[in-house]
Amino acid sequence: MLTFKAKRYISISLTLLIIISLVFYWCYSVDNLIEYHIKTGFILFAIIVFLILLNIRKMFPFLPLGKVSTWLRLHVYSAYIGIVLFFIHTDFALPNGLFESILYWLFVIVNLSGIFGLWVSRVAPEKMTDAGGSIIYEAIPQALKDYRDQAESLVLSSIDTSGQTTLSNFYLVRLKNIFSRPRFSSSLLYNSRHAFNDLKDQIDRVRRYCNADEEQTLIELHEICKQKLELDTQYSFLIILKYWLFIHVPLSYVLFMLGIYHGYLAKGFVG
Amino acid sequence: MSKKVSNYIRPYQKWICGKTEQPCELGPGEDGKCPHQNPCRPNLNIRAQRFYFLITIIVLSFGLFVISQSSTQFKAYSYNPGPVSNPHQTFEKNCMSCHGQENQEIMRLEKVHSGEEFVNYHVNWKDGKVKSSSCLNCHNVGEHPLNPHGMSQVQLAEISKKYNSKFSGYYPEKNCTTCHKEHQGRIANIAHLSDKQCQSCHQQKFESFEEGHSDFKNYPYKKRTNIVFDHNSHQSKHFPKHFSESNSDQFKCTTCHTPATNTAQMGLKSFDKSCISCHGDQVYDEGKSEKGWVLASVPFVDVESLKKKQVHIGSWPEDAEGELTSFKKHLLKSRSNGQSLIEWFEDNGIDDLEDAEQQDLEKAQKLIWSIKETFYELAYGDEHIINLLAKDLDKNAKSQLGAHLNKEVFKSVVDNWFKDLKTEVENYRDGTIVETEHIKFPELDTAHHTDFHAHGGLYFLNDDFTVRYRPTGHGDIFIKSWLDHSIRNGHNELFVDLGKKGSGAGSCLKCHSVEKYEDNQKAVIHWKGKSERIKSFSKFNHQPHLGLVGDNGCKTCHKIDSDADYANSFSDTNAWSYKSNFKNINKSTCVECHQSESENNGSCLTCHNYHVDGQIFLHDSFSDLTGHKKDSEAKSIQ
Repeated sequence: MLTFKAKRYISISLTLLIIISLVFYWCYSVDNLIEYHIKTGFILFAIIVFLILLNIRKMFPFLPLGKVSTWLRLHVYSAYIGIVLFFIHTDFALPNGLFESILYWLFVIVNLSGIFGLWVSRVAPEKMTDAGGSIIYEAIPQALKDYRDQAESLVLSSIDTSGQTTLSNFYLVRLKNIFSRPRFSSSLLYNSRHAFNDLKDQIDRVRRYCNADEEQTLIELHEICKQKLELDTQYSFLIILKYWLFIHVPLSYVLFMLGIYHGYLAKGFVG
Repeated sequence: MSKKVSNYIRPYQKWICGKTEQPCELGPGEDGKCPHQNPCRPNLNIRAQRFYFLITIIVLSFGLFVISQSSTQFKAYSYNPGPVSNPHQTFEKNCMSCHGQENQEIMRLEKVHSGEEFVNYHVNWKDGKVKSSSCLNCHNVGEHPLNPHGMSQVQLAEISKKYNSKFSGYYPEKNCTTCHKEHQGRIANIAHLSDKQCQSCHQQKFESFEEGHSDFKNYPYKKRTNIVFDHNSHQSKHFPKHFSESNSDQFKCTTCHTPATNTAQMGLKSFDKSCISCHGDQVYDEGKSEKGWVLASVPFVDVESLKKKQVHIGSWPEDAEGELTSFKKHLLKSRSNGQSLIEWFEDNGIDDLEDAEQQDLEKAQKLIWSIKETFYELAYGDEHIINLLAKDLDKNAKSQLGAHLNKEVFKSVVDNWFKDLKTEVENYRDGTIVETEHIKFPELDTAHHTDFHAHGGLYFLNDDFTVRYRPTGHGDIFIKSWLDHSIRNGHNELFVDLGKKGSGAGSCLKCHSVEKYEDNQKAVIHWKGKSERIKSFSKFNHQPHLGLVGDNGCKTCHKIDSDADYANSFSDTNAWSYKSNFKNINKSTCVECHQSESENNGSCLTCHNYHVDGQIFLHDSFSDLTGHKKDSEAKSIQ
């Protein structure tokens, strides 16, 4: 049984070998006036079909077609080959026509989104763990409700114990909005402490108006708020992890459709 | 952070409970309905949302695609892969100009019949490949445009043999689009070929012009010059003799040469701007003293013998001692039996008929009447003699040949030399016997004729019974036309007569060379210093080099070879057996500037053409392969 490292080594080596072969083929074709656009286009289209098969494979997890992880690995390395082949096919130049430009940029967007998705799926779990563990996307509303209930009960209890409404006013004005819904924040994706510092700043400001009981409650409230921000971090990563596919997958199918027509036109016109 | 998650969250199910903060235990059914009495509004899970989004995008894209297909104009616009190059932009709005041209008419008719207005965007989407024939409608690249270099298979086979190529089979045709890729933008150079692309076919591959390119052979003096001009003798002999010592440096390239405005070649100044200062006398003054080209004369005939033998030839001038001129022979040949009569004349003559047999006497009689008839036709003929001589020529050529054959001159001639030639010929034609008569005219002073016609033109001399034409000067159109006519149509005797020194016309061929082509066996006189530019494998643009030659000027590259036997190159009509009086230009001269690391390193196409004219190429390089020898027939012309 090959280790993950060995598999990766073999995959990278094979991919590089194929890419180098393609570059040599391209150089040879250009120097020898051999028409290569049809061939490279056909291979590129075959790669696109194979890449799309991953999505179809995922739709039918019960079928005995190999592990999704294997499919994903092949998907990624095929895509790298496809990118090189794409630039060879397009002669490393931007297209001039409308249809070809659409096709060109569609391919670029699909591939950039794929690379982004790959990067996010590699980076996000680690960052989510750093942000306090992991939670499934669908459970976030429940977790949020728990935090909100805890915060509100703390605030209400502080009115009874301290007889003051300082914290309840603070909650209504500043914190209620925080607990109203999970928030997507790009700064949280970059490990920014800005939101936490801002929260601490607000807590520190209200602290000067609190008596001793309220101050104790405020510390607990601060902890709950920090957990909410960590939940937002989880939410932000999960949004990215879930929604990059909204770009990658549909545009892949559009690319596939237009690619068929592009091939039809090429067959009719090139030569 | 660790939160307890409800057991009833089922992220892989299509529907999830609408109460996201507190999902119920049952959750929605598979149909997406909440089973409670007070139902919530279940939500689609992310995967399902993505699926429906995917369907939406696909449907939208397909819809847009279908809509775009409904407009043929938009279809053509959107699928145009990019602007075509500037020279082709006229055709851009009509895809059919290049794509699937043969179907254009069919599609146009279909549109007309269906009542739709025809727009120039109808393309055969199934077969829109660019046909090379579309390109060749405008681009003339020879008889074998799609063969490598536009050469015939025979030529390709021969050049392969010459360079010991391993490949000796059929050289497949290449479409124009193999090298010329359109739709690369307005300023794209679609004629560009990289050096490696050139070398893809060539077996002898090399690094660069500097490294590996073979040295030049006889470059650029493979074919002799059109104008016979010995640079060596002019520099070393004629100029020093003509000019005083202080002006002995008058032999400058710019005296005769000038950069041509529209071509890459150096131009030649006209005769009137260069040669005339020394050679003007030969054409305008001394040349004038010659009496000119003898078109016609009255030959000596043994009239007494004919009289004795009762051979009727009418009147004949007693003092006539001329020859049967080549022009007269040319006229006679155009008549029935003319050729055989001339052949008889060449063998027997008409100056001594005393012992002639009856058969020869009949021939002599026919010949003499033919001579008289040609005079009659020149003087009184209903139709211009040129129309009889050169029926197939166009109007312009006939004018140039015939304008000076003045009827009135010939009328005067026959009135002076014969006794009523008009009546005699008409009687002869009617079958009436015209008695042979030797007539003697009083001596006429015609010396003034020579002086009077000093400016050129057609005139006659009574003292030697000749009709002559004196050239009007350099480039006389009548002499040029007759020289061209005679050489093109193989009238060798006429050509030799015109080219004879002393005829006045002979001066032309002193400087204007005669070349006979190998392929069509036709010869031409090079009236211009430069031939029409024909694409060969090599090209050179003088203009960008003029500012780079330094103090030596043209002599940087063009060095006179004082030992070369230049004049001998013009002893025959083969323009390719040539010894220039310049030394060959070596590759090293070019390499001084065209080095790999320099900006002007020069790709193959800097100095070479891909498309060449096969016919010229045959001359250039195949004479030694095809076993072509100097044409003996060509020699005989001169």
